[in-house]
Amino acid sequence: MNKTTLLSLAAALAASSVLCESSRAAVHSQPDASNALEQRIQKIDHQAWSDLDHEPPQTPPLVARAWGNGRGRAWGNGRGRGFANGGGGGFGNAYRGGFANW
Amino acid sequence: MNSADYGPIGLVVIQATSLCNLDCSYCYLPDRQKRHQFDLNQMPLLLQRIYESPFWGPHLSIPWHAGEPLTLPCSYYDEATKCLEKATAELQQQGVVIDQHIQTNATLINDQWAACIKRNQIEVGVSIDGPECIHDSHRRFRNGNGSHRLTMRGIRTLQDHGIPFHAIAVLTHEALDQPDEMYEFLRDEGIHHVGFNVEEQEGVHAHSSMQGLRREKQYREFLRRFWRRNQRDGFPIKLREFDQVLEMISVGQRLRQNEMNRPYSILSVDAAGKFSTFDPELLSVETERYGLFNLGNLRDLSLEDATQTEAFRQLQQDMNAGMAQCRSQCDYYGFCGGGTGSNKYWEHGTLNASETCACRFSTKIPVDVLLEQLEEQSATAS
Repeated sequence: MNKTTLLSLAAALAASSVLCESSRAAVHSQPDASNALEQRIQKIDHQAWSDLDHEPPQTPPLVARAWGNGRGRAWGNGRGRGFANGGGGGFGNAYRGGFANW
Repeated sequence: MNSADYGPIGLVVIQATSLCNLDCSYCYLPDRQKRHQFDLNQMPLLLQRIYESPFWGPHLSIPWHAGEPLTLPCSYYDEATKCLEKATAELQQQGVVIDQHIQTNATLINDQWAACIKRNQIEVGVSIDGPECIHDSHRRFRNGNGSHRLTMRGIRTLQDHGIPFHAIAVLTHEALDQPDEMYEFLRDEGIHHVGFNVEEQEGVHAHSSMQGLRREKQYREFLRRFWRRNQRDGFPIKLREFDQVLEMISVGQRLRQNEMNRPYSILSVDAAGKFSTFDPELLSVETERYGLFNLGNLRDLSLEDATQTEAFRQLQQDMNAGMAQCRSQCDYYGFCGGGTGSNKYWEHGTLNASETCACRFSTKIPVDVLLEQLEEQSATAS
């Protein structure tokens, strides 16, 4: 790789951080309250969530969470959906995990 | 080019080898009997291409994939780790995380591989379709013998060495009538992180046994039964299809896009150094409409310059048009982010398409079943 000074590395990391933030904003959205599925979710009793050991729906956090899990690779960071028909590949970093058919 | 419309690159799929020691009936890879190998001398160039681009991010996962990675020797991954460390030491010292993964059929895993996996800190995914009768109906060696026994031997070796792993099960029609057997097998074998990949029509696998309303109905029943069995035992199995939806609901976040339709979220590189983005399944697949899907070779083209090519522009244009269709037509968009190009291409012949059979199985049906179950619990609680 090209030689990198610490200063240029710091600048690159800062630029990467800006890119990640803008990417998150481009990738994520809030639930659309007019959507029929979202209305069903809002009606679910909080007890049903706690039975699952899951938090009930919340308002989105101020800082976007890492672009993981979401959809994409399930289970974030490397454990993903898997690519089609058996290809595993990926569950990392938001990939829905899965190369198909593997 | 607006770099906010790209990346960051979180996943680099490298085809370490095209060879697979199995010949699964549903596999989409055309060259799995050939031993093409990714030359590790290309690794510094690959990393240079990533980190000279404006698309890199703070966390990079590298799955060795698109062939059986363990048909290569352990030394290959020792060397790969050395290459990675040498080329990215400064970045890693500054907090950039780079990790390696394999998705394997586990038939070759022994104590030596377990040691290799540990010393190189490789995360493992195992492909196993369920109990022997289900697994061996499709996952066979070229001589026709089933692979279940050897896959289970590999899994037990991982467990003996304390190596965590997730499993991917391709669901074919054989599994749908056996939700209890599937559940009990996974639970009893200690396979607790599971993703179901419903068999897809893809690549050289031109027909799937999982198409049509009857199969969709069966899959709903299968997931309902699986949920109930899991619930009765206190949810020992984390099923990806439900977990990812629960997570999104839990944090109140939905998707505008996903990694498979956002350029340079994923970078895929084949054994010859040719690269593509979007779905890894599109890598080096020859099609009439889009050619090879490849954008170029690492040797000749930077990632940024590749976005100026006509091939990329056509892919991006059709991908965006397909996502726009999904957004305007589908209530499930927030849980899916616009579908996957490979499924759209293989089912409709173009990326400019919306609903697919695959998206019904991977998103719509799991969301429906999950909400039904929660609504039932909700009614009981109140």
